Amino acid sequence: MGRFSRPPLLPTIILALLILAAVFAPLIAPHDPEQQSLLMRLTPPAWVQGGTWRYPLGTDGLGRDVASNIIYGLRVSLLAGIVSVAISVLLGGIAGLIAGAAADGWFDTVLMRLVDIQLSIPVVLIALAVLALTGRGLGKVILVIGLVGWAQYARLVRASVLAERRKDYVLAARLLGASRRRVIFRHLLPNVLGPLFVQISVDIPRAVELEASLSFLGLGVAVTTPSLGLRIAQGYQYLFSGAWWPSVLPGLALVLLVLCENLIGDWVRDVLDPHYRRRRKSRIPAAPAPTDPAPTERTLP
Amino acid sequence: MARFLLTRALQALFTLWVVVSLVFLLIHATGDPIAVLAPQQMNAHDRAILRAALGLDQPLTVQYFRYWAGVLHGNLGVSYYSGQPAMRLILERVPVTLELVGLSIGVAVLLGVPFGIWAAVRPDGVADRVLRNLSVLGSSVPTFFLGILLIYVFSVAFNILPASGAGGLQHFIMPAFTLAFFRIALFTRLVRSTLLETLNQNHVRTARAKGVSEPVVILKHALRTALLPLVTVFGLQFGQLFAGAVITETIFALPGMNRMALQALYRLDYPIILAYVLVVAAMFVTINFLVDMAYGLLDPRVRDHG
Repeated sequence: MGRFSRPPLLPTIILALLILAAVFAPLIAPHDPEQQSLLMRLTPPAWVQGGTWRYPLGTDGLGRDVASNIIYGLRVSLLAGIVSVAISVLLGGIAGLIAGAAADGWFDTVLMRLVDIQLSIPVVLIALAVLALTGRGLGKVILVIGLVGWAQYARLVRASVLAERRKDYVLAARLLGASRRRVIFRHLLPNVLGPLFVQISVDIPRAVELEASLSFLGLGVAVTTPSLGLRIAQGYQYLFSGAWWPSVLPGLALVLLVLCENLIGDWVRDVLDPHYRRRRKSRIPAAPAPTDPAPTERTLP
Repeated sequence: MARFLLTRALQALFTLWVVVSLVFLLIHATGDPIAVLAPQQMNAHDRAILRAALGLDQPLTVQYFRYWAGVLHGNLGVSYYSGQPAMRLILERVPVTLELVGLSIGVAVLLGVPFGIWAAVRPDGVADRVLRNLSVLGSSVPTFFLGILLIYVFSVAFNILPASGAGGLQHFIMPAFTLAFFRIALFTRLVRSTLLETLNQNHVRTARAKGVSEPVVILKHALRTALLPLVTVFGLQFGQLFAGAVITETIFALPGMNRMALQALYRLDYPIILAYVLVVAAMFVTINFLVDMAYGLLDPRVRDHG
């Protein structure tokens, strides 16, 4: 397990294809995802009897093309995963950097209390409550997921800064007359990036799932947004009459996306976390490293 | 001991007060139940009467102190919709949720612990690798989708299990497994890694050197140490399970308290929401306390140092 171990091949290729499909959705999707053809309601996938290649993955209860909805749904999922985690990183990262640089000050104390409280309340419940009260919309969902995720990053960055700032290179920079801000951003920040990337790689699939779950419960995106979670919820009612494709196929796409992200996340951890690398070599797992993602919900509830 | 218990009880009451107050402020600051409750054609005058009848016309501070005065008298208000006492409505739904959560914890432990031992006995063996891949898969399938897949297979395709409602044990099989799925993976990984670690420790080496047989070494000497982190995670997961049960209860139409709270949230039925929060917070506090106690019983090092 060297530093240059290669990323897992298959997940990387699949994830790249999924991202390409999402980015070029208008070029790839065979139909407009919103276009309803009521005469073709619940057409099964092409390989099932009664299916047609005009709708390769069939149509849902409103006659919308399932394949196109999946492609556009990937767009929503990826957007939700990446933007919300970016918000969490930005908020938590800045808070953690300041708290760590000014450790034991009042800001640090207050912030860490806040982190403890935030982490003790299940994220789903907070997100549910806020969205129930503020209404739906993709922007709101992304914002809520981003806001509830800050605590993990604040704690992580603060811990890394505390560990790093006692080291000689920081002292050297100080002695050379570097300002406090320069020490934080030019010297400390680059050294806390490793654990940060590990946490990000765990959180993106988590955020993707959270968006899908909230949309499934009807508290996420607006009804017209082609979110995978929402489409699964809408297709769910036809399950009982045997039409599995409107709910199962978007679900499989979601699982594929999250699975690839998780596998690549494991690789990121192997590469960036020295603790894990050593452990792999000796084949004996050590106690959880301080940079370990906390054993909290990965899937939702 | 008495002082310890008293401190813990006070801490618990403080936590309850903070959590309920936060939720109280959050819901009163953002929502207007009258907008949801009143029929569309209701005129402004009648709306004002309705608002006054529910006490929602008072300043926030008055409402807040009235609420706590009520709670101290054992009165948590009545549901805006059914007029029934909120606490009774929630408590009626508690057994279903407890059964669901208890069963899924049971499933997760009964499968996760043996899987973890199995994987740890031969690291990087076939069982270990298969279980490791399964556990990545386990943490990649969203709960609600797993529920849908199970319903399709067992209720629609083979028709051997009921898809919704509560009744006998058969109504809980799929929901409990759905909720447990992620924890099976979690417990497997956890037991594997802690067991591998303890197998290297001195007391295990001593036991082996004495000639104790391998199964006894693993099950009696190593596993006992390895189970400690599991107890902590177990306590954390209990809380997560209650939150997670929202989705499971919704998919399988189980009449549990989480589903009721979700409905109350859609309709801004404040007394029900607050009663739910109070009950859940009380359970959290109790479970954390029990976990601390269990830790003391399992680990002499903690016990002796108080």
